Parts: sequence; structure tokens; C-alpha cells
Amino acid sequence: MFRTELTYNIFSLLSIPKIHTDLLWDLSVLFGSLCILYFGFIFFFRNRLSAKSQNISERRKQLTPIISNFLFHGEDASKEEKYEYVELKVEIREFIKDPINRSILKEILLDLQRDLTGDARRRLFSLYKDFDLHLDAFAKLYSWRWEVVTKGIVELTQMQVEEAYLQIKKFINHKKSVIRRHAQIATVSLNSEGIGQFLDTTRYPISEWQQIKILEILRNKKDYIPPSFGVWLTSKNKDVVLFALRLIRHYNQTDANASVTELLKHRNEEVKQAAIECIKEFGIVEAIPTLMAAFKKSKRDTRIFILDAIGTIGKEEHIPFLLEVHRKISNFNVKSKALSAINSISPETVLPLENLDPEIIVTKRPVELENEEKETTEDSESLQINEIPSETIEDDVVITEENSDFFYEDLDVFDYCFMEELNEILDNQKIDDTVEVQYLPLDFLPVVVEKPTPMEKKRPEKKSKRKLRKLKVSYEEVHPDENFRKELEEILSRVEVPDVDGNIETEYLNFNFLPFVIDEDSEKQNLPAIIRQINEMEVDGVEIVIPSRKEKQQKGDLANHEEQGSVQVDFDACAMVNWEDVSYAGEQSEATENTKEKVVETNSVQEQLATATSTYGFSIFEELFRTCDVDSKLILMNEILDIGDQKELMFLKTLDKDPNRKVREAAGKTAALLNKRLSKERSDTKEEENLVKWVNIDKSKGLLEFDLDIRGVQSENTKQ
Amino acid sequence: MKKILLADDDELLASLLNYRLDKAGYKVHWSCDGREVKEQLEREIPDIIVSDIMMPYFSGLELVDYVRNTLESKVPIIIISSAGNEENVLSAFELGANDFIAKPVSPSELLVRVTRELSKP
Repeated sequence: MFRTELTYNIFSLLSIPKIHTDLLWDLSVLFGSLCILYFGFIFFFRNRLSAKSQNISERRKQLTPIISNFLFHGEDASKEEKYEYVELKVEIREFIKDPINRSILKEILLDLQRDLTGDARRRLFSLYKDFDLHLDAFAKLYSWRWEVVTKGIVELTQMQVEEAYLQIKKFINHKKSVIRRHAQIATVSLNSEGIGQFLDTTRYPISEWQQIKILEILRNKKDYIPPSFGVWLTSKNKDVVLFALRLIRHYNQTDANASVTELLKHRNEEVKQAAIECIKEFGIVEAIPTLMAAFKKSKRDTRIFILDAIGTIGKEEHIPFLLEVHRKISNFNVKSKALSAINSISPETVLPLENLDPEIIVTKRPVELENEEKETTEDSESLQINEIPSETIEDDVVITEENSDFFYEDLDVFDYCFMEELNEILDNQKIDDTVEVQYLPLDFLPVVVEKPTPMEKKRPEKKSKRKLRKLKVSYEEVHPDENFRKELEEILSRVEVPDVDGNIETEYLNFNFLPFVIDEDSEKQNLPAIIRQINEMEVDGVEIVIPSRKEKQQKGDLANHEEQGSVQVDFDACAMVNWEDVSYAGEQSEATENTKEKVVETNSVQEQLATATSTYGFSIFEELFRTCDVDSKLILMNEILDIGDQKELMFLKTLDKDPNRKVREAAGKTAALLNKRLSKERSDTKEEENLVKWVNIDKSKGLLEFDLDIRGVQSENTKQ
Repeated sequence: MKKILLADDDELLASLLNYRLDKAGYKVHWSCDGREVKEQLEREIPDIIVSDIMMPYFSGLELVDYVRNTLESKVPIIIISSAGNEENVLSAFELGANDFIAKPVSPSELLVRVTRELSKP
């Protein structure tokens, strides 16, 4: 049923409609006629337009050589040429009476002014006026159609008709934005004072594009002297203020710095930013307080501008403000800019902290990728470096005795004061001459010439005592034997030195450099009150080490060696000894061991170092190694290899027991290389070295006598 | 009389330059597009070529390349180009152009440059 209906309906739709055949013919004729008419019109107007175009082209071709003739007509032309020129002018005047010809000539001149420059362009402008074509443009200014007015303004502007300035400036505040914009450009372009007129009178906003175009016009003006744009910073039109700020910046006008600074308080963010740019470019340091004050009430972008300006013109005194900004402001961009500004003022103050791989450790030597052991100590050290939060940066870090690991007194003051007190003590003591004199291990002593130091001359006694009481004594060693004082007194009293002629002369030596060792217990029993005062003092940096058995043996060997001949000591090594840190080895080592002297803050490494320095002196690298991390130690070892000598060699040997494997290995390698280098140097310079001979240690007299034998000219003189 | 081939599709400017150079004593042949220039070059090599960079069918760069590589001629070529078209100018120099003058053109300046190029040995 459904199928039947569907079939029937479809079939009925396909049936031919009942329309009269004549009507169809009539419609066909109608549409055919319309088509012919349409195409006829198209062909007609096309031909007309092309004919017109051809006509214009022909007229242009006619006019172009004439214009060329006018443009390149020289002043030095002959009379015939001048006559032709006048005739041509008259001819053109007749020619342009036709409006079409007039418009063609106008078009040609407008086209040419775009492609020409120089003298030809100036002649073109004068030709435009000569043919009174500008009057047509003036007429357009009075049209009621805005596009015609605009064309008139543009034409007058392009052909630089300065007379049109007064009429065009009236359109600066025209309600039609197109006319307004072209009028503004024309005003600025046609008259050098037009920019002032424009900024004085404009009430409408000035778009960015318009500002750029006007700026370009001003820039292309020849011999243009810009007015002081600071005058317009007081305008009520914020766009005028903004444009004035940009012009001030462009022309580097620094006569309005106060006004520019005041504009930091402007409510408009754009004006603020332009003012900040000016301040930054001109380096107006006086504006920094205002910048900091304006920061609080500024928006994010302006804040970034302010920080940028402070970073450029600020000084270190402004860093606290930037740090405060970094602490208090949550915005990432502002925080980053604050850090950037700090680094601009003081480069490398803030280092990158975020997202750093703590496993990357930079060393001077090439990175060893094989057999690498990750040591927890190293990791923890590097992590500590990276985990330093920025908040921990303090404004003023003051180094005090409490927060510093090492606090050094003036060593000269210490020497002087200490020896003064020592002399006083010795003067007050009764020395028993019957006590047997024992030998002191003074083989480390350098050649000493009695000469008062500048300190001794200048420092008054009272001052030195006062300073003495302020000193702290960290390390003390008790010397129970009274013979020591006697021995020391005798040493201080006189030393016999053979002179050039071989005679023995007694010289008084200055032992200010000697560390002093006192027995605490014996002091309590025997010494007077003044010595007790000294013992109560604390001395930093003076390390007194108990002499070892080995040293004792060496001393015994030395005593035996006296009989055989003089002992040669490396003069350089002696000279480089840091006597403050030389450990004193006395005869009473066993006694001191028995009495258990306290040695504060020493460890095994330090003991080894002390042993090494007792022979070769104190390595400057030791102090550095106490405080630096593993990486720094490795770097320092490279330095040791370059500049180190015997002291460093001994110091490196003490690093065998360093807890870090890398340090141990590096120390071993460095020591081997350094030893090789030193032995090579030694062999080269062996003959030039000055040697000190220590001879004639007289046991019976208990005195030390020094025989200074300097090779070279002096030694020859001595022999003579 | 030295022969100059002036290649520029701007009839007005070309006509003006033609007039100026002709007045200065040069024989100028003006071609308004690249094909015409090519035909003219196949017929006769001028003493100097003054060509705009932007031309239909055959640009100024192609012209320089054609003259230097295909014709293997060392005839001086001065390029006229709009300001701000430095990349094309650099390319033209790399291809072998001798000189360059920017639009807007000063006819007197062009004349000086042409004279200078022709006076070179």
C-alpha cells in the first residue's frame, strides 16, 4: 500500500506542467534581450573607460616631457631655451584649462614627488604652485564631504604648500577622525611651529600610530630645532603628556627632569612608564626615592619598569630596597626583575638557585666518568651550596670575632707585647746557675740581626700591656723545668758569631718571634703574679706542639753531628717558616707527656701538619684546606702543583689520612708531581743557593754559636 | 655617445630619467619590463645598465645574474631600489651589481653615478 502511494506520488511530480508554449517563447525573448543589453552596456562602458584611459595615458605622455623640461630647465640655459621655456609655460596654462588635463597634471606631479628627491623635487613643488593647482586643493577644504576635505589636506601636505597651514590647523579637532589625523600631520609637516600648535590645541586622544608618524615627520625635517617639550608635561590631555615625554626622550631634553620625576605620581600607568623610561635614559638619580615611593601604588608592569630603572641608575645603597621587594612581592616577574636589578647594580651578587642539578660538580681537571664513586659527603656539600635560600641574604653582614672561624690579632703587636712581658718575667726571676744547661733544639732559627723594629720604637709600654690583657690564649703548654728559663735567658743575653776576620763577636739577638711555653703547675707554685696574669690570657693563632720522640732523636743526632762538622740548612726553607706556628720542641717532652698538658682543638691532621711545618715551615694552603670543600681542595692542589715548594710537599703528605678518597688520591698524585718538579729545580739551582751552616754548639758553655757561611763573594772574603 | 639601457616599469620616472640622461649626452634605451630588457641585451650590450629591482617578468636581480653569468659581460650595472629593501640590494651586489641608488631618486645623483661608472677603466 505504502509502496503504491509512493510510486504514484513520485510519478505525478515528474509529469510535465501545463504551461502555454507562447509564454515560454516570450520569456526566452525577454531574457535574451536583457543579456544583449547587459553585454552591450559592459562593452560600451569598457570601451569608454579604456578610451578615457588611453586618452589620459596619451595626455600624460604629452605632459611628461614637458614637465621634465620644466624640472630640468637650468638657470644657465641659452636665450633660445629660455624662450622655449616661456612658450611652453603659456602652452601648458592653456592646456590645463581643461579640467581633465588639469587633474592629469596634478596626478603626474603627485606621483613624481614620491619618486623624486633633491633639487628636482623642489622644482616640482614650485611648478605645482606656478600652475595654481594648489587653489583646487584649497577649494576642497571647504567641501561638505569628508573624503574631499581629506584629499585636499593630503594634497596640500604632499606638495608642501605652507600657505595652507593656517587653514588646515582648524581641522586639528575635527569631529571626523580621518580629517583630524591628516590635519594633525599637515600642521606638523607644513610649519616648524606646528608641533607646538598641535600639542597646545588637540583635545582628542593621539594614537600610537599617529605619534609615530608625527615623530617620523619631525625627524625628517631638515634643520629642525625642537621646542622644549617639557612645557606640555602640564597638559590636561594625558596623550599630550605621554607624547611630550616620548619627544623629550627622543630629543634628549634634560631640562625638565623635575617635571618628569613628578609624573611618577601620575595616575595613568602609561605616563608613569614613559616617565620611568626618561629617568632611566637620562640617569636621573634624584628620582630614585620617588621611584621607590611610586612602586607601592603601581601595577605589575610599571613595577617592572621601576625595578629596571633602579637597576640601571641605582647604586649599592638601593640594594636593600630591591631585596625587600624580592622578599615581599609574590609576583614571579617582579621578583625576577628585582634580582636582575641587584645583579645590574652589583654584578654576580645573586647567583641562579633554582632547578640546579646538585650532582654537577665543576672541577678544573677533566671530569672522570669511569669508576666514579658517589660519596655522600660530597653530595651533601654541594647540596648545601644549592639549597641556600635567597631569603638568607642579609643586608649588612658584619664579620665579628664570634661568627668568624679564625680571628687574627695583629701579629706584630702580639710579638712585641709578648716579648715585653717575657722580659719582665725573666728579669724578676732568680736563675739558678748550678742547674745543668741543656741543649735546646734551636736548629730552626733563622739568621737574626739585632735591629729595633719600628713597632718597638713607636709603641708605648702602657698600651702594649693593655692590649695584652685583651688577648685570648687558646693553647698553653706547661713547661715544668726551670732550666728552660735559664737556657732562654742565656740565649737572649748573647750569641757569639764569628765575623769576617774570624774573631768571635758577641751579638744580642732579638727573639721576638719565639713562641713562649709555660708550665701551668709550676707557674702556680713558683712564678710571680705577673706570670699568672699572662697565663690567664688567651692567645689565638699560636700553636705549641709537644715535641715527639723522633724530634728528640734528631736533636741527639744534631748534638753528635756538631763534632763532625757544620750542619747545612736550606736558607730559603728557614726564611719561609712561619714562626707563629712553629712547634717548639724542648727537652722536656717526656715530662710534658707525663704531666698531660692540655692541647686544645687539635686533631691528628693538625699534628701532622705541625710536624711538617716544624721542619719546612707553614704552608699557606693549610688554612685554605681547613675551610674549603672537596672541589676547592682539588682545585687548590692544582695550584700547589704550580707554585708549591717543600712546605707544600710536606703538607700534601699529611693529607694521606684525609677522610675523602678523592682528596687522598689527588694529594698523592700532586705530591709525586711536585716532588719531581722540585727535585728538578733543585738540581738546576743547587750551586746558586745560599746555605746556612750551623756549627760549634758548645755543650760546656751551654751557648749556641752560629757560623754563617754564605757561599759566594762573602764566603771568599771570610776565607781571606 | 655612450649607450645606457634604462630598465624601469614606472613610465613616469623612467621618462624623467631618460630625459635627464639624454640631456646629459647619453643615448638612452628604455625598456619597461624584463622581457624587453632581455631582447635588447641579446641584440646589443650597452655601455651601462640602469635597472629597477622590481620589474615584471624579469627582476633586476635576474637581470644582473643574466648579464654576469649568461652573457658573461662586465658591463656596469646600477640598481635602483626602494629604501628599506637592503636585502635585495645586498643580493644584487653579491651577483655583481656595481652601484646602487635608492628611491626617491635624485636625477642629478643618478647622472653623477652613471658618469663615474663609465669613467672607470
